[in-house]
Amino acid sequence: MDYALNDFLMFTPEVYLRLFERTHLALEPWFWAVPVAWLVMALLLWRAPPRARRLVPVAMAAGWGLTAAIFMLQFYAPINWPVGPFAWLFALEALLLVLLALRVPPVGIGPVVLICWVAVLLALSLMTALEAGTWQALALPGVTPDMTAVTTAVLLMAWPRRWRWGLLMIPLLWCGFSVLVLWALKLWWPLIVPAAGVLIILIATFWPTSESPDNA
Amino acid sequence: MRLPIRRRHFLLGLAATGVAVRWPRTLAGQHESPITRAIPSTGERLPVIGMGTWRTFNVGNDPVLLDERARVLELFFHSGGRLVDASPMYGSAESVVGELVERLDRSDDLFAATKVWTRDERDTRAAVAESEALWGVGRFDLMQVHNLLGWEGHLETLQAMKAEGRLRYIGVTTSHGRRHEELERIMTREPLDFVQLTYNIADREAEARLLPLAREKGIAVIANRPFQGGRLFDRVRSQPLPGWAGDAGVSGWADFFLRFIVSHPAMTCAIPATTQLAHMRENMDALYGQLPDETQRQRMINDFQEI
Repeated sequence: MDYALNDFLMFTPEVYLRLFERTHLALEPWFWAVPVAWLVMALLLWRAPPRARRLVPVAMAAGWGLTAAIFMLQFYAPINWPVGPFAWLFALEALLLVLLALRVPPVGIGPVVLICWVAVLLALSLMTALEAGTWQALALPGVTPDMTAVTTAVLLMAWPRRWRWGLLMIPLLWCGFSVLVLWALKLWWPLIVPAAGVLIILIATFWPTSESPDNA
Repeated sequence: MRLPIRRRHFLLGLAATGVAVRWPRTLAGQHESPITRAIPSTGERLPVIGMGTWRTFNVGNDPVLLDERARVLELFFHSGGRLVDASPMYGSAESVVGELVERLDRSDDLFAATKVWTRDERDTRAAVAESEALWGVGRFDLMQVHNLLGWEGHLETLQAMKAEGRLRYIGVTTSHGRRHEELERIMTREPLDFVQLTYNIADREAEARLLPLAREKGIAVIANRPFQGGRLFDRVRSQPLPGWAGDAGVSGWADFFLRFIVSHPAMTCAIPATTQLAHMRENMDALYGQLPDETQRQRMINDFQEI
């Protein structure tokens, strides 16, 4: 008799997928404001001057805070105790993003790259809904932790590499933890999100610094 | 918003929705008595099928899942079950059981069993008090030391609490076949009412020394992981029950596995866990009818090993 990974999990896949539906319900009728906010952020990265682009990390920080307060502390931590300490790490990441906003704005990003990343993130957002069989289980960045971590890793590529590393630590820790949980739960579709997150974080770690002439 | 479910509402609901298409035998034959075993230290009898809560009752504050678990728990009690086992390790399971037992008005039927799960051996009384508050019980029927964690200090305090009348029974637990030698030493040295260990048709190590020792020392035995965390069903998937088993009144694989466990003469109770009404019905089938004799037990082992 040996322990299997799922012997360490104290809840079922059903309970995990319900977290997404409950978060959706808890945020009604404001839930759909979240994707709108992300589209606005994409537009800012494409067209806005550096000063206005500083709103992007501020909005990201708000997303980390919202995710920690609702999805993690209110719903997830009562069934999975390591999530409680992780929520405080999410709050720390929010603080770091605010500090980043004060120090340096992101560089502008071209429309083709933006559209590619939006398409990737949109596809990843659908994974839990696909598994749960309901749109209510849609996983949005800024509301649910895996997508928040993945989207942050993508956006951090708009900063010089030396600013990225410190901010990628918490997303990497979370994605690693989430891969283990979802592997143990055998939730293969949702598992794609943190697994992609680990990959994107590794890419972001070594992605060359983008320089923009208007970034001074 | 939480919708209170009382027993009568639940039964009316079942009738209205047609969920009760196949009652467990327990409900079909009300004249039949559940199979019980005596707790050796007092002679009090317990139904041989209890209910575990590992993974299944850790639903947090989700109102939809709380209602679903309420139906499962009500069916358990209505089918003659009594012992519900939990642990502080199982997330919100203790508070969920406490809330649902109160909602269902079933505290008189409950044999409340939980565990002390803390490394700090001076923290026993505080841990028991915390579990009492979560369950909403004034006194636990059974308090166990979880996975032998800090067992020496905890057991000493639990013995004192039992002497004070603060607990009815005390015990220790292991799972996954771990630390059997240490468990054997504890069973030999300490005055225990219960031990909990892993025993099922695939994991039968306990038969060699622990179960005979439990009989000799007069210790009740609870079998955890009766389906090996569900893996036994993976093994028999799509396999029909042996023909003789059906003739002997075994209704399905869950019934087969549970009857094997509780037919061991040292065994007091098995604690399967489920989230499904249909599975609870199948589990509770094992609480009624005839248990296999030694010849049939051997046949069960042989048939299972051939799969």
